[in-house]
Amino acid sequence: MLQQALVNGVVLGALFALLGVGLTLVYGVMEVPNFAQAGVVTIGAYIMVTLHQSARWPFYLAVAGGVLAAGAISVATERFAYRYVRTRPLAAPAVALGLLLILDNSALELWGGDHVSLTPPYGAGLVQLGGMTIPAVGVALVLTAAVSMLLLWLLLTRTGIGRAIRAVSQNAEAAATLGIELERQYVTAFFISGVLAGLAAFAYAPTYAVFPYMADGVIFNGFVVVILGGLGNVWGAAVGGILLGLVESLSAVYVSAAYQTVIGFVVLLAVIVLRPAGLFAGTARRVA
Amino acid sequence: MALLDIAGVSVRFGNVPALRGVSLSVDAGEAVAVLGANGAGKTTLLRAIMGRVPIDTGTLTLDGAAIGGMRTSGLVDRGLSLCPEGRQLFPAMSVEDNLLLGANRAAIRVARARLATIYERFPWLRERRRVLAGAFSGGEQQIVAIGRALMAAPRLLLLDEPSSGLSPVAIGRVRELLGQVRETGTAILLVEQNVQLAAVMTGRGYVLNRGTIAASGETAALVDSEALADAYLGGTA
Amino acid sequence: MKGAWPYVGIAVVTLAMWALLVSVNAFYAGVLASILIWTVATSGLNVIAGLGGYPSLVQGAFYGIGAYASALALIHGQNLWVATLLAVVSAGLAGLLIGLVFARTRGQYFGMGTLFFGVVVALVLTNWTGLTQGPLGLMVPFGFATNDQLDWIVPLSAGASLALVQALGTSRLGLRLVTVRADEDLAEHIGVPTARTKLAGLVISAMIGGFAGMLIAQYNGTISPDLFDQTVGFVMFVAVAVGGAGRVLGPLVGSAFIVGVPDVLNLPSGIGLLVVGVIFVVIVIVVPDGLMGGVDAIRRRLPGFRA
Repeated sequence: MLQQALVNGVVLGALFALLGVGLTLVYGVMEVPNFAQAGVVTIGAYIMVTLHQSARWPFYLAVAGGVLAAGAISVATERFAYRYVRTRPLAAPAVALGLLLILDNSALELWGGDHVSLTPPYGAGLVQLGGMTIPAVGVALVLTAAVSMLLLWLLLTRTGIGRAIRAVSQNAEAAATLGIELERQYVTAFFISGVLAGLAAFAYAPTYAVFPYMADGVIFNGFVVVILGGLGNVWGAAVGGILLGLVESLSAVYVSAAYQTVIGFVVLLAVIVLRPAGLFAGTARRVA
Repeated sequence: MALLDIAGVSVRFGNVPALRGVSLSVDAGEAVAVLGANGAGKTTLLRAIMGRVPIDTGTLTLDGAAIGGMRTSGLVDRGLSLCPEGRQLFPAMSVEDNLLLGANRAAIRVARARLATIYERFPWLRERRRVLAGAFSGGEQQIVAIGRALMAAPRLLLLDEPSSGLSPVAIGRVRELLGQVRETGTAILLVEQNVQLAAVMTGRGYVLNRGTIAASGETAALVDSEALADAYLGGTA
Repeated sequence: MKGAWPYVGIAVVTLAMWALLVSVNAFYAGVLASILIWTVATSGLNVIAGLGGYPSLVQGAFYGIGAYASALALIHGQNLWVATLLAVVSAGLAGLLIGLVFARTRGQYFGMGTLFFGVVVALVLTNWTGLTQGPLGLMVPFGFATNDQLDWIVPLSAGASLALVQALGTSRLGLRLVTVRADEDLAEHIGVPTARTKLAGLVISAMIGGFAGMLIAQYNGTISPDLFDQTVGFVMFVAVAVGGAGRVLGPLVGSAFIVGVPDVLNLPSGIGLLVVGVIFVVIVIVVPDGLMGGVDAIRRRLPGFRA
């Protein structure tokens, strides 16, 4: 029972981490709480389903298409909306809500409200691991998250693009003085965030159905993770995601399933009141 | 023809004039000082040159080409680099990352080559290249900041009060470093409140008082001048 | 009598709303009533979020607590006065609790914290079936004497809430809230009792929200947890932002937009909400201080205006 809960926790946590990292990246660079990310996940999932089932693309190609589309849509939200409210933090939630309505309901109009499913080739498979049976989709989720985090780490620490993003999130004016073009960094951060959302869709959709409001609930957890890890702290979000997943999973088993989100709230509450800078504030490693 | 030519430049923030009719020039390879008290507009002047604040009136020319209104990235490409007031390093990034960011406009291979050169010239930086910038003292940060500004391979290096908040020992190190920079033929525009450092580093300079040029000439002469005393101690506007 | 003009204006608007409410057909009357009840709730929110500048996303929870408290009181045989008192007090207590917990939390963190409180309240309303009958909802006994009474209580409440915010805005508490919004650290520095001020603002917001909850319970006749989930709190905040945070008429205008536009456009639900989304984004981008802020900006450009 405990083992199963732990495994579920890691799977859930991987999903939270994928979402939280994208959100915190955008937040670190632009101070914008990107609720619309949920809509990007949804549309990414629908595009994957359409490419795979209607256009008959091979599965992984359809996924790639959806991921790239998610990146593009995320960039569009920046170019057409968020860009105008950069200097007005109180306006950002309203814009985010507007975008979410636009994205969710576009999905509703384009694909209808019925639940559809994204079935990977390993869909019904089970994996034996250390005496436990884990659904293949769960393993795929964790693998996807792990590989994404690794690639993101390499990008942020070893490339010029990554350095520039980190610089902008730490001191935007100094970065601009060095000749870094801020607009480009914002667009890049949104693109990466969109790609992560697309990957989250790929990982998430097979387990839960695809429908217009599929990600609206999970995005809340994404934001808890952002705060847990410290606003703008990418590694904090990654670790925080796993932690939150474990905490929620364990409490669903040992406390109550219905109040699972409440536990998340209690965690959030504790962090906000006791350690507002996030769990990892002490360490100077604010990477992004 | 001067490397940098500023003519009649005015900058205002809303209704508040920060610079009024400022004109100065820097020749290739020269070291020029801008002296003045707090609030005189020295930082605004440098930021205006770097395209960080918009200019109301006047012209900025680099090598004869008009650069007023140009984006900062374009200015860096043309050989301008600013070492800002207060260092402004990226605290959670290593010295090496900070330095590489100075060369962000160049291809990575060029940037790595410049890095090697900087490490050769300033071994102190190479020894500490993995240390996070936030861990250094003010004086040490200044060395990193100047290194970072040099990574852009500038023809004209702008420095905003490099000695501010530094101990005499640290100031000495900065002086040494800048001396080395001069030897490579890079021009310097040095904004300073520390008149001693300015006198040692530069040949001629200007006095900025409340947004206007109050005097110009040999730095040594300016240091003792009435215009400078006025600028620092108030007197008639 | 200079200070009386805003109130005269509010009275006029209230009368106009009442006149509209009783004369239009049932469909539009329902929309207008929703707008007016939302005006009460969002005016409440305007106190802590508009005057105080604290992004409270939990007004929906106070709305819900008020609705359920009043409904339960009526179900257990109490009269409407008691039910209303219970609604206001229980919402106020919730506001007190939130205020104490988040006493030292600001900005985005405060927003997120309140949002999650909204999630908790929604979950409790849904799952504490013993008390609330859960997702099935509750039938609310009608507490007024006649239907007509409701028809003038609703616009009157809306007008009263606008007037209350107007009065608060010029009161000592209101001015303190505004200094907190402008620069909380500075306010503390110069001796403003910021902690008490914020708490008072939040509790007042909550109580007004609770009152609005009682109104919606009466008007609808049935209530269910999904009417008060965390998105409601979020949308109420957006309504205040769209109308003009801190401006007295902001909540009325914002509610009219948020509630009215989707209903009146009457487009098939998907497109309707899509259009609403576009409108939000456009308004927030084009009119930074909300619609009432935009009105002010236009007024300032008209000849003869003296600031």
